Amino acid sequence: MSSLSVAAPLPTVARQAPKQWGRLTLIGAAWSVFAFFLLLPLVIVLTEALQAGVGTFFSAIFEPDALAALRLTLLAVAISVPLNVLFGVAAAWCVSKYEFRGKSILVTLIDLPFSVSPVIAGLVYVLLFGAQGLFGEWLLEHDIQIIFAVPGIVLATLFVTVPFVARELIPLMQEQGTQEEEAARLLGASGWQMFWHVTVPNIRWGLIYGVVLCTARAMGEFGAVSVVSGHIRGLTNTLPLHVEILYNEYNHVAAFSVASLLLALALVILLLKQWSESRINRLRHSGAEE
Amino acid sequence: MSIEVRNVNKQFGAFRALNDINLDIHSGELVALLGPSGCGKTTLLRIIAGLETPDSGSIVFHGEDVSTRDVRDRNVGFVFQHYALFRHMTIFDNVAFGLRMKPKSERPDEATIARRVKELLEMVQLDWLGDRYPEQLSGGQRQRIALARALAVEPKILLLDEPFGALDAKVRKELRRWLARLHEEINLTSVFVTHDQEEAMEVADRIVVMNKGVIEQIGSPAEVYEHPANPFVYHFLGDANRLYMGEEHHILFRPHEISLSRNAADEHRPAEVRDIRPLGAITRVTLKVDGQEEPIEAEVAKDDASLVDLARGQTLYFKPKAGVPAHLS
Repeated sequence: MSSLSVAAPLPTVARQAPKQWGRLTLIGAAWSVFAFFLLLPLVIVLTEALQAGVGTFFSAIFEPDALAALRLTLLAVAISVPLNVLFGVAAAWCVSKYEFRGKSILVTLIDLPFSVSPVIAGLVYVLLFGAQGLFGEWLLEHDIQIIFAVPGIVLATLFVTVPFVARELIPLMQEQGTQEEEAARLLGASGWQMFWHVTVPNIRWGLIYGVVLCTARAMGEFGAVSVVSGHIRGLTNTLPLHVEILYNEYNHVAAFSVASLLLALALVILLLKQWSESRINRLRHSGAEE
Repeated sequence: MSIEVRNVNKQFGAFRALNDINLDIHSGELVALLGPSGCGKTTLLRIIAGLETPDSGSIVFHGEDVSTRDVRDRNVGFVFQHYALFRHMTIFDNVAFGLRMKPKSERPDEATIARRVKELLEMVQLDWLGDRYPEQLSGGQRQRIALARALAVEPKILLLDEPFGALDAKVRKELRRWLARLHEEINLTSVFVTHDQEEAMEVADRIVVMNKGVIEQIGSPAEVYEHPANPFVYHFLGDANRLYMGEEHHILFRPHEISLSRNAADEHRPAEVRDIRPLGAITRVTLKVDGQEEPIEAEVAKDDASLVDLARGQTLYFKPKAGVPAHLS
């Protein structure tokens, strides 16, 4: 993303001043920024992790607390991503297919997690569900624990990932309009048939893209989760929190080994993102020809 | 199947889209809803289809009130201006869609569907495009596919919303003649919306002229053209010249309702030739008359005697022919 925004102005600059050196300087600058800020840290993570050999590397990853953290991270992803897909499709459907009061407020609200610091989001949940919180007493009476437990981590993850699917689908669905859905209804399709046979295939790639972004964020979330987690090893530690703990204990090799696990997951997701993005561009392009 | 529209009203916020509309469409008729944009014609069509709900009034198909019936149960074929083909499906799957969506008990088997789709594609003369996608087709082809798709479920009523509006002039002409022939062949009641009076005159059995949410006149093409009910209809159905006969009084006449002469003749008024445009079978001459700003346009056959060696700046004598609807002014 950041490399794109650096490289984007280049073509116009090149057109205005067709001198070769100007273009090359800018491209060179973009690449060195990219290498220094993005590539170098990646290399350092890997070299640090493998510093003490492959054996130490794997033992850090397969250590029970690390595996528990991995499990918890995947659990948070497995719960928050489907819920966000549900919410995102519903919200995008409402915004793009219906006219109603307060539509722009709803769209703004969806963006809220982008602008609010995740730490504040975490604190809000502590204030709501913590022992001294608004619902704290009631929860205590019914023996339900949310803060410093898995439900709190899932809630915090949900909060920070809310916009991803909806944000991706709203413009896509607005652009496509409602005529194909109307045509399906006129041809006798029921609401579900229309949704599965017409709407879903049309938003498929946008949906996948949103899910990929949502997954990446859910896995990497630190701030909000950190506030509600309580850092109980093997119980309420996600991968990013585990990395932090290891690092604070001066266990650098283990910290970087676990970090490289996160890195590997991120790379897979990046590839998925690239793939779905190219599909969307192809669809948009063919749509524009109409 | 006949269509009755009874006291239909529709409001969008403060905008009154339809104001107490009553309309009878007979079984087998091809009717055009004609009017300028924003006159409510598309809203009326969408209400008949069930895509829009009227604020009050009812829609009756063949004596049966269908006002409360859902879109999918009205069994109307609908063709959109921008085709609305399913972009992710092949042409074959597009046409087969209606048949495949039927409840299990009524759904034909795949072999029957394949046969039926092939028939429909042959009917619209595009049977070689079955495995293409909509984006690979031209506008005219897409519109024919949209029509085949609508006809697949054998509707008794076919509704078309500006069906040729997005096509270029030549394809448009071909397609509308083809539509008129198709309507003759298959027994359907068809309603189409258009803002193009020429299209309405050429295709429709009857024309419903609409303006600002009300029906101005209903009649055959000849009736609405020859006997317009009011100045709006007169102006909308063709070009009109306004000729002032003194301070307040003026008459209206169409460009072809004119007699031209090179020499001063009985009842003919002099005018200066401003422009001469050969348009094929006819030639249009723009005339400037003393005492009025508005020019007069005359359309005469290209071999009219008055046109021989005519040049700009010369003087011509003209007279509106009989049948001038002076009462309309």
